[in-house]
Amino acid sequence: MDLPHQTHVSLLVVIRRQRVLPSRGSIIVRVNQKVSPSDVIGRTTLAPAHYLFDIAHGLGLPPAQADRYLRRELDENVTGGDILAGPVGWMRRVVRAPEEGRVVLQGDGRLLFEGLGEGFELKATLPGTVIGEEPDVSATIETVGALVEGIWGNGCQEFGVLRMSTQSSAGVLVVADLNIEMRGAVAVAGRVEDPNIFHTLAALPVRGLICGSMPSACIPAARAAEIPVILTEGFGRIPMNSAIFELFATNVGREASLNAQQTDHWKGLRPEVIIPLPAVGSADVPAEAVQLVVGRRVRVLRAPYAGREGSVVSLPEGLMPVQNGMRVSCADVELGETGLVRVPIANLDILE
Amino acid sequence: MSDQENARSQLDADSLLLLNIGTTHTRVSLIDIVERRYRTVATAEYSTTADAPYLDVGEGVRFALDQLSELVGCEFFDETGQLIVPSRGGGTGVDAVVLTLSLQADVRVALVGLLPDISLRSVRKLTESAPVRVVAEISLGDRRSDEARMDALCQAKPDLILVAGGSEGGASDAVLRLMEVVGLSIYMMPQDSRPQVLFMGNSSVAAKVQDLLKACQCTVTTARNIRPSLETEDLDPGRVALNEMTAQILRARLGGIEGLLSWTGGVLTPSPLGMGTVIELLARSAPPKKGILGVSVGSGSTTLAAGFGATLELSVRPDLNLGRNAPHLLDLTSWRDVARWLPMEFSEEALRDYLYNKALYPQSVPATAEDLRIEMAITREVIRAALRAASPSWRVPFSWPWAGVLPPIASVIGSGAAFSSMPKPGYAALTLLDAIQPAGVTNLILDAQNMVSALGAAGRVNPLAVVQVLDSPAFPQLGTVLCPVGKSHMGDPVLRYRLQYADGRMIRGDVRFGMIEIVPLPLGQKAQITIQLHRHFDLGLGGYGQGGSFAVEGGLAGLIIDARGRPLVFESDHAKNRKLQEDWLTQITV
Repeated sequence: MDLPHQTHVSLLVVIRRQRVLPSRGSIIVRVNQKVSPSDVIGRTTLAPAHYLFDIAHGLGLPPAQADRYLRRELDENVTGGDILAGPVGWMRRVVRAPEEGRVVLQGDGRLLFEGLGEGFELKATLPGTVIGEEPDVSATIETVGALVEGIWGNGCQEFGVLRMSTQSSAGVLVVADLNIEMRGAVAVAGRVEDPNIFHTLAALPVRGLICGSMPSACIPAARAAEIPVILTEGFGRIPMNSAIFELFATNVGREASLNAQQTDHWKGLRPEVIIPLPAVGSADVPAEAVQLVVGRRVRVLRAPYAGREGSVVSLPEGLMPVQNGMRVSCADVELGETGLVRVPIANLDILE
Repeated sequence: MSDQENARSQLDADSLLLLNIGTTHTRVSLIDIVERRYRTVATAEYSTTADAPYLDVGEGVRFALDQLSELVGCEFFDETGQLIVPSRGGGTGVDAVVLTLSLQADVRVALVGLLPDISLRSVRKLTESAPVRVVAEISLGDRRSDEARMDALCQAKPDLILVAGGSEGGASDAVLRLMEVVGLSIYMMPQDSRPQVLFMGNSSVAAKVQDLLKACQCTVTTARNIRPSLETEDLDPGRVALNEMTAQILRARLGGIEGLLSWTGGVLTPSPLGMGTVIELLARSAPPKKGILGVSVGSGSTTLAAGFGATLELSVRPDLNLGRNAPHLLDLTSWRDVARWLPMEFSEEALRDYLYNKALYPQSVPATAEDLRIEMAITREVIRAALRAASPSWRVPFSWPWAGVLPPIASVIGSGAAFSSMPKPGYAALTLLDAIQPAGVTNLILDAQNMVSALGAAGRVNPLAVVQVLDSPAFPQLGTVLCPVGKSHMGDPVLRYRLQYADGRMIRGDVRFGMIEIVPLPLGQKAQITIQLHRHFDLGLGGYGQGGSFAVEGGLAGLIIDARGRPLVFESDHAKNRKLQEDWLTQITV
C-alpha cells in the first residue's frame, strides 16, 4: 500500500511557520509582536575562523610561565588588536587578537581564539504575529491566507505583488513578454523554457517567479538568480496545475510571500507561496496526512497523465495492472475531458 | 522482560518477523515452519513514515503488519496494542523480530588520517561500505594549518569522524597531534551536535585518544587498526563498527524506532550488513574459483556485496539511487550510456528532466512502457557505475582468464523494486545481465520479496531459517545464464547446444552472435546441456572453443543463452541500436 504525496493548495488557512537560526544566536522579537516579511527577527554568526596561538612561543617563555601572562578570561569578548597575553620583557612582547571574537580555551602555553564570523540575519518572510519563541534558536509566526506548496525552489525568499505573466496555465514566459510594469511584482507563468529569462527577471527587477515547470537545464540559471523561483509541478514541459493557476489568478494584486526553500523531507519543509488574506469567518490549519478516499482531489505526477487534475472515483482492492504490465496499487481517477483512468497510487498527489 | 532477556529468548526462534524500513517502503515478512522447512509465509509493505508529517517509522510498520495480519490470519498485537513475543500458538504472535534499516538519511562523515595515500585512502574506502556521505577530509599531508583543519571540520558539521593513522608499533605522536586538532574542533561545535568518533589507528594510542576526547564529551569507539602495517589493510572490523554507528545515528533521528527496538531486544541491523551476511554465507559454499554477487538498487542507495570464498566486499552508494539522488548518475555516466539501452529516441534534456522528476517523487512508479524502459536503463547504469568504482579493488583469491569482465560469478541476487516489480521475469533478467555482464555460467536469482537484507540480519537469531528461506520460492531463480566471452560479427555462429530434459525429451539449437536465446526450462526443473562452442568463444569450460556437458537448472525466464559477447557490443548506428534493444527484450521475454 502506498501513501500518496500531498500538496497544500488552500484558499484560506491558518499558517504557522517556524523560522530557525542556522546556529544559536539571538531572537529579537517577542510573542504577540506583529512582523512584516522584511523584519529581521533574529541574528547569529556563521563560519567563525579559529586561531590556535602558541603563547609560550610568542612570548618566548616556557609554557608553564606563559600562562601567568594570559590576560583574558574564557569566553571573554575582545576586539581585533586587543592583547591576549603579555607584555613580557623589555621588548614588551604581546600576543594580540587577530579580529573581534572570544577566547575559547587557554592553558599550557596555548590559546584557542574564535573570530566573530560572518553576520546572519533571520527575516520573518511573511507578515503575521509571533506566537512562539525558542530563545536563541527560533520564532514561530502565524498568519491567515492562501497557501500553495511548490515542489522545487532555488533557496531565495522575497515578497511582492502577484501578477499573471502568461494567459494560460500552459503558457510559456519568454523574454519578450517582460516589461517595466512587472518591476517589483511576483510573476506567475505556466512554464519557462529559456534559461536567459532568470537574468532578465532579476535585472528588471521582479520580486520572484512562480511557474509550473522548467527544463532541468535551467537549474543553474535559476539558482544564480537572486530572486526566488518556485516550481509547482516539476521539470520539463509540464503546465501549471489549473487549480493552482486559478488560485493565483484570483489573487492578482495581492502581496505574496515566496519562500523558495529547498525541500527537507525530515522537517516537512517545501517551497511555498503564502498570500496573506483578511481572516473572514473561521480558518483552520491545513490538514496533514489526509487519506486517499473517493472524491479526493488529486493530480497525476507521471506519464501518461502528468500534471492533470481530477478526483478519485474508486480505489480497487489489491494490485492492478497498469499500461506497462506492472501490478501496483491503483486508483481510478476522473480526469475531466480524458475521462476515467487508472493511475498508480504512488503517482498521485493529493491537493488539499 | 529486559532487552537482554528478550534477545536471549529470540535465539533459535521458530517464527520470525522481519522488518525492513527503507527510504520509500517499509516491508514486513513472516517466516515460519511449513512442512518442516522454514518458508516465507507472506510479505506486506506500506509507505515508510519517517518523513514529515508522520515522523514515526512505527506507524508504517504497524500499517504493514495490519496488512500482513489480514494476509496470513495471524494476530500480532494483544488487546493493549503490544506485539506478542514469543508466540502463543494458534497464529498469535511471533517468536522473534529482526529489524533492518535501509533508509537514506544523509549521515555526514569526516575522515582523518595521517597520510593521504595510506590511512586516509583506507578510511575513504571504508566509507564505501556504509550509507554515509563524506563531507570533509583532513590529514597531516594536506598542507593546511591546524586552524584551517579545525575550521574544515567545524564547518562540515559531521555526524561521525573516522580516524585512522599509525601502523601497529608505528607513529603515535603524530596521531595524537592530529587528534588534538580533532578534539579542539569537537570542543568548538555546539554541545547538542557533537559528532561521534570511530578510531581505527595505532592501537597503542587508543587509550590516550579516549582520554583526550573524553574532555569534549565525545563518544569514542575503537576498532582494530585499519592499516596494521603499510602493506596490509584490514577493513572488516571497521566496516561493522561504521555500519553499527551509522545505525545508531539514524536511531537517534528516527521517531518511533525505540518502540520497534523493544521488540528486537535493542538490535538494529544496517541493511548492507544483512545483505553481506547472506552473500558471505553463499560464497563459502560457491563452486571453486567462483564468487557470489548481491545487487540491491533502491530509492535510498545501491549496495553491492561480492563474496569470494571467505572474503566479503561491500560497497554502499547512497549517492547512486533511484530516488532523491537520481540526477547524480549523470555526473558519473554520460547520458548516451543511459540512452543506448532505450528502444526509442531520447534526448539528454529529456533524460535529465526524468531524473530530476524522479528525485522529486522517489516513490512514483513507471506507468507507461516507455517510462519502464527508461527506469530499466537508469538501473543498468546505476549498477554499472557502482561496479566500475567497486570492482577494481575487490580482493579476488583466484585468477580468471578474461580481461575487462568481472571475475566468474556463480550466482547473482538481484534485490529491490527495480527487479521485483517488473512485469515479466525477463525484464529483471535482462536488466541484471546488461548491468553486470557476467561471463561463463551464472545463476540469476530474484529477491522476489525484497527481503535479502532482513534475512541476513535474521542469521543472528536463526541461521537455519536463513539457509532454508534462501532455497525457497522467496528467492526464485530467474534462470541459468550461459554467457560466452568473445567477439564476432552480428549473426555469426557462437555455439550449438543440445538440452536433455529429465523426462528424456531433447532439444537442439544454434545460437548466433548478438542474440539472446531462451531455452524452455521451467523453474525447478533440471536438465543436462551439451555445448559445442565456436573457437572465438570461451564459456569457462577449459578455454576458447572448449565445450562440454553439465547440469543446468531452469528459472522463471527459462535457460538463458546470452550470445551477445563480453563486453557487450552495441550497434553504432542509433536506429539499428534502438532496434537491437527492442529485439533483446523481445528475445528474453519470449
